[in-house]
Amino acid sequence: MEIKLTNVSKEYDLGATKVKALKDINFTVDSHDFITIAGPSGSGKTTILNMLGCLDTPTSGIVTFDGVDSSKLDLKQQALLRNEKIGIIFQSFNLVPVLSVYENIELPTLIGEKPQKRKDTKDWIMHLIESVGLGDRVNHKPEELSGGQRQRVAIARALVNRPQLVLADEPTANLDSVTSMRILELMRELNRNENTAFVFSTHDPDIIEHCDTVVRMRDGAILSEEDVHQRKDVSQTTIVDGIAQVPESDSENKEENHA
Amino acid sequence: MNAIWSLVFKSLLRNGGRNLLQAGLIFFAAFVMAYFAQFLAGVTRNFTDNLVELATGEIYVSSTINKEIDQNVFDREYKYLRVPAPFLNEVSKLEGVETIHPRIDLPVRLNLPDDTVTFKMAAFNPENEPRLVNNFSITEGRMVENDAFEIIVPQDLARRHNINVGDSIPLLAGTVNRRVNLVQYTVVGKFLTNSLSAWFNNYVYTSLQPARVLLDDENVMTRLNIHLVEDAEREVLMPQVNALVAQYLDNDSNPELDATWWEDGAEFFSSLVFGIEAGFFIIVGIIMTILGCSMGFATVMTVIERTKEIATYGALGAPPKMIRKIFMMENVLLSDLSSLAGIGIAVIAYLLTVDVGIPINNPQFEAFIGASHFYPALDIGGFILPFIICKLVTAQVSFFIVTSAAKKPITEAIADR
Ligand SMILES: Nc1ncnc2c1ncn2[C@@H]1O[C@H](COP(=O)(O)OP(=O)(O)OP(=O)(O)O)[C@@H](O)[C@H]1O
Ligand SMILES: [Mg+2]
Repeated sequence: MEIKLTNVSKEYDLGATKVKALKDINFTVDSHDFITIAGPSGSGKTTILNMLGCLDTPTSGIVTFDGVDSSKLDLKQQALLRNEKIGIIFQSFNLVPVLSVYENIELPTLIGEKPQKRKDTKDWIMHLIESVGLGDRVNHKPEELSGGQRQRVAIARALVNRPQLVLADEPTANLDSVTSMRILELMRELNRNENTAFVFSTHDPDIIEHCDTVVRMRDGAILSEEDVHQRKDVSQTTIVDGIAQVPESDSENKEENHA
Repeated sequence: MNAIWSLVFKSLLRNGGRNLLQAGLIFFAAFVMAYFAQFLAGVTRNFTDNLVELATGEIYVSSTINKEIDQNVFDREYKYLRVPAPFLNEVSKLEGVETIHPRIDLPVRLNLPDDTVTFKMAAFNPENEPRLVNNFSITEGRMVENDAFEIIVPQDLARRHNINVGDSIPLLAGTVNRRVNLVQYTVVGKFLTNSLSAWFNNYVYTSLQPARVLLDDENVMTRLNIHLVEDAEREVLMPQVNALVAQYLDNDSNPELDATWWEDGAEFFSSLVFGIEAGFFIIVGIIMTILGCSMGFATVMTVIERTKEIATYGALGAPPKMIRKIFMMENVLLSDLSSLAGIGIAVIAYLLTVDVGIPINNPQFEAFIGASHFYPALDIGGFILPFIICKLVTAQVSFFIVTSAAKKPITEAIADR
């Protein structure tokens, strides 16, 4: 699996003004990538995730999924691509209010080309529910759950079709650090065992620490793309790099706390 | 698929208030359509089918009846036709004529032991008119025989005046020559007729010959029904019959007598049936328009409220067709359940009214059919059609709206703005 953004720009035309949400982005996601996109509010994190998830089309530039130009796919093909290969965790969860936890997670298995009738689907869903720690909330409705619990349902739902790529917009924003870590471990496991690629947007330093790659964004552009483990190793020795990077991430976090 | 149905069902329950209103409207529409269809069928059967059956002739020659309805039946001046045998003979031989059925219709007085009852008597030859006989249900005794001095009486009349099978009753009538005649008849049966020919119950019946004796005229009749073969041509036959009528029957008491084509004679009914049908279609039209608009409105509301949900389905990988299907299923389920309920109630309402009938408050109408109540008739299609109509209207409207909703960009719909 490979998703590639080539010279991707996204503009929103608001009549008087034009908002450049993405500026000439070049970016590739491969199988077993575990990437974080960091950046201040409004920097284009959600927009770039939407491009990766074929939810939105660029104003210019090309998005390819395994070499296929996604703008050449019709609505149905795009939908099926999302259904079968991409799991999406939305910033505001978007659970279906009338469905229980179990049914929300089951939903993607039902609405694709043909409803899946695999015998192990039920076991898999239950496994996901246990993994996100909602074993005692199986039949609850979203409105009966806390923000963090809803988020966990959204996470399980994104994983249910065993996607090749999972996109997560601030997946741990509403979670305490213990739950965050548990969920991160689940994702790591899938990443290692099933070669699932993960792309997060986040403000959470813990998540950044646990990722392989951090992509830093500002004003719709990618500032840097760095290997987290390498940075950890290298930061002791390559002082110039460390100094150049660390204050920036600090200022970023402050900015967001104000926002 | 079950899971999708369960999703659909739950979504329906969520928008409870509006869906209930919607369901109520469909319920009402289906009920009105289904119930009225039974009345339409009743109109057709009561008035058209049944009258043709009773007339048992496409052409009739009839004496003019005194129009002063208020007058006591017995005192009305009946104009009788005196029909010579050669006329009947020649009419029977016309090409296209299958059979002829003379009728005599006269007011009589029944001289009962402790009462005198004024009633109407009708005469026909039962052995020649099996179709007419079929309209009677003899509850006790038997049908009269041709040429015997026998009568059958309505069960209701028998009960009211304690008339029994085997009784011998003197009947009094004004003859053609304006004298009063008295003849003894034996009651051989009591009868009932179903709601569709309820006016039968306003007559006692005998056969032609005894009625002629009572009227003291060998050639008398009030009406001649001419029953034609299947493909007989009106344009050809009517002038021929009328020529014979002019030749044999025109006289002082019946000047300018003409044969009548049945449907023309029933003009009052034709226009009545047309009126009721038109009324029915106007009602259905209004209901369907309201239903369509409100269905559209409700779907628009649902779609606006649930753009985010629609977009979520899309983001999770539901193709537009699937999204449409889910929302369509909601509407179709709503429509099906409510229209079935409406039709169910219509069935019950039909069963109730078919027994009781609806009183007719139109004297002219009442006098013509001789019945005081109007009854619906079973029309299975009338129960099925509203279901299909409701389904089509809802499906059409929601398809249109949901299709446009499913095209909305996903990112815009999902964003928290
Ligand atoms: N539909 C839209 N119409 C107009 N402008 C938009 C629209 N969507 C996004 N933008 C703009 O594009 C820019 C990038 O937005 P985006 O949602 O990607 O930011 P973000 O990095 O996800 O921010 P946050 O951390 O707050 O979620 C912002 O300036 C935003 O105002
Ligand atoms: Mg965002």
